[in-house]
Amino acid sequence: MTTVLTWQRVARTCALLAGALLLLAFVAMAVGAASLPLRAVGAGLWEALTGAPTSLSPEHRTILLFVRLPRILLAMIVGAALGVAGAGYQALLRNPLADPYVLGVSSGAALGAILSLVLAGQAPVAMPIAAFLGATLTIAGVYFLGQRGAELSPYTLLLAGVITASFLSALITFLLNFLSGRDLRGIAFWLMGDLSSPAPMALGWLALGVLGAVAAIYAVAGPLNLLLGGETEAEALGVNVRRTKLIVYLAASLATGLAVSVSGAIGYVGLLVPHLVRLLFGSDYRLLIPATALSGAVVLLAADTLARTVVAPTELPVGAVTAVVGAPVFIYLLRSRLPGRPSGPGSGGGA
Amino acid sequence: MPQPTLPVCLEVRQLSYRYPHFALQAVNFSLRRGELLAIIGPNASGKSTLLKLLAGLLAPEAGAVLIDGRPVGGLDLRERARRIAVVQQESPLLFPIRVLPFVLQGRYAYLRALGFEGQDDLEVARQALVATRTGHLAERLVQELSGGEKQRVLLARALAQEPELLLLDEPTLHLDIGFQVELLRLVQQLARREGYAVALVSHELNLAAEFADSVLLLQQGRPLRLGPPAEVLERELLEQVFETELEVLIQPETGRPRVVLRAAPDAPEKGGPATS
Repeated sequence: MTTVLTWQRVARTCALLAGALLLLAFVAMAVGAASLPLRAVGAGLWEALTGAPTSLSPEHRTILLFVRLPRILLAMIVGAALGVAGAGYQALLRNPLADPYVLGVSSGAALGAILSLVLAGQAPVAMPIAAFLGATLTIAGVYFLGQRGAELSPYTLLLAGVITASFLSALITFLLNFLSGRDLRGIAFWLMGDLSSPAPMALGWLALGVLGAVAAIYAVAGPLNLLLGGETEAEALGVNVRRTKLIVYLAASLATGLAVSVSGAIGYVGLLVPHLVRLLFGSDYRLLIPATALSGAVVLLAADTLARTVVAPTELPVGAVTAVVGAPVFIYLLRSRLPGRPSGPGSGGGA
Repeated sequence: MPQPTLPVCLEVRQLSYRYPHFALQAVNFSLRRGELLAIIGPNASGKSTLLKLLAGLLAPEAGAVLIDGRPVGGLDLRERARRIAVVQQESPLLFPIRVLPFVLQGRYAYLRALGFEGQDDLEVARQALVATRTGHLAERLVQELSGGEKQRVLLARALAQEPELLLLDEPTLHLDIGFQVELLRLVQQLARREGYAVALVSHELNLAAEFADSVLLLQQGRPLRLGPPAEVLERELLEQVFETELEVLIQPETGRPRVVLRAAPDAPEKGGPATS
């Protein structure tokens, strides 16, 4: 039995997860309001990859390549972004329950996005930038609200996040009055977390931004491992703590901002996925970050496929699906991962 | 006793640091490789602040901390971690981790960016486990270890840094007397056999008396006395500093002092009769 991480193990694990993701994408292409034969899916993917014409009917081509494929790619990108953002915030705040949604960061990003809609209309770059700014400001605010003295209590931090989210949601509701001309059902769906409306920015740019954020967090995966054991300990082991935290803070907020600007506040992915990955593969961030990106894509694609099939021909917002699973898991983790008395981080004192 | 031929590793000159309500003033000493220094003193005498200054985790307000003649503050963080290892009072771990990967964290300062530990790092970590007699714990979860085992694993991680200077902040806190003696004996052996320079902060006067080569006594941020245990652990001095009636006995075999409470007959609940 070996507990030492090697790059070969990281590569094997990522290949496995990528395979699972492709398989799931194939299934997700086939199912939906109209069920398509697998052969048509294969032809559609072949067309998308090579550009060579196939025997695909025009109707199927439209469904596969212009409805389902973009949505599947969107789910993957958003899932990866939210999962990695959660893993980043957990290390940054030294709180195993940190998640962009629970901490109110998603609401902050949503407020930023809606503000940009109100002020700048449909300007293409304004919305993700505003969402990123909303995310960075919110997490900074929650951090300072959660601090008591010099200590960051895990409970106070979570409470501060929940209260901040509720406050920001009220502001969003207020702002919605200025958008009454628009499709409010669409906005309401978006607020709950939804992947059905086409992304307001090109998928390529979105993917690039998320990839950049994931790469930035992966670049400090080694220091993050040490940061889990305390800041002065990490510093004594040679970690530049301030730089590491700044990188994670900005990158996790960028990932959250981008995800929210295209899909609204989808909850609990950043909580569920890193914990699932830790359970399966261990908690070394050098494996956790890439595995969480891929697993986040798998989980959100699965959730979205459920969201558009369980009540077909209509659909649920995907945020409802993730919340149904995520909220109970949050409660479970709250009871098992944090110390029993809310007197500070005194866990880990076994036997 | 340390061989006088071993070179000076750490030099502290006129070191000062100021908090709003407390100041550490003009500390001077030097530490040779192979030498074990115990820093003692009452609560809030500045022991842990001094240790953080030695580690470079705090920047001095005045004076200098030199390691091999170079200011600690001027070292690159990774370079510093290859020279100085700190065993701090344990802080909780966020997620479960096994002992071997935990000890491998000591190799961080030797890895390239995005690097994974190689065979040589693994070898260093295993030697550190052997040196701290924790080899049998390699696959256990750190969170499940007993206090004494955890302290030795923390020491192993520090040794994996291959430092010249080892700093320990109250390493025997929460340990029973058996583990206290075991740990200090281990640290003493490491200093003598492997040539580490060791500075440790302790509340246990008798452990300092038994294992240290020299003792530095602090009171309210001022260095009161520095020297071999028998010269520092004197009755009048300790009684004044700790505001307690004490007795200092000299062990005839070793010449080392032993500090005991002076039984106060009118207040038996404070001192209590010796129960062997």
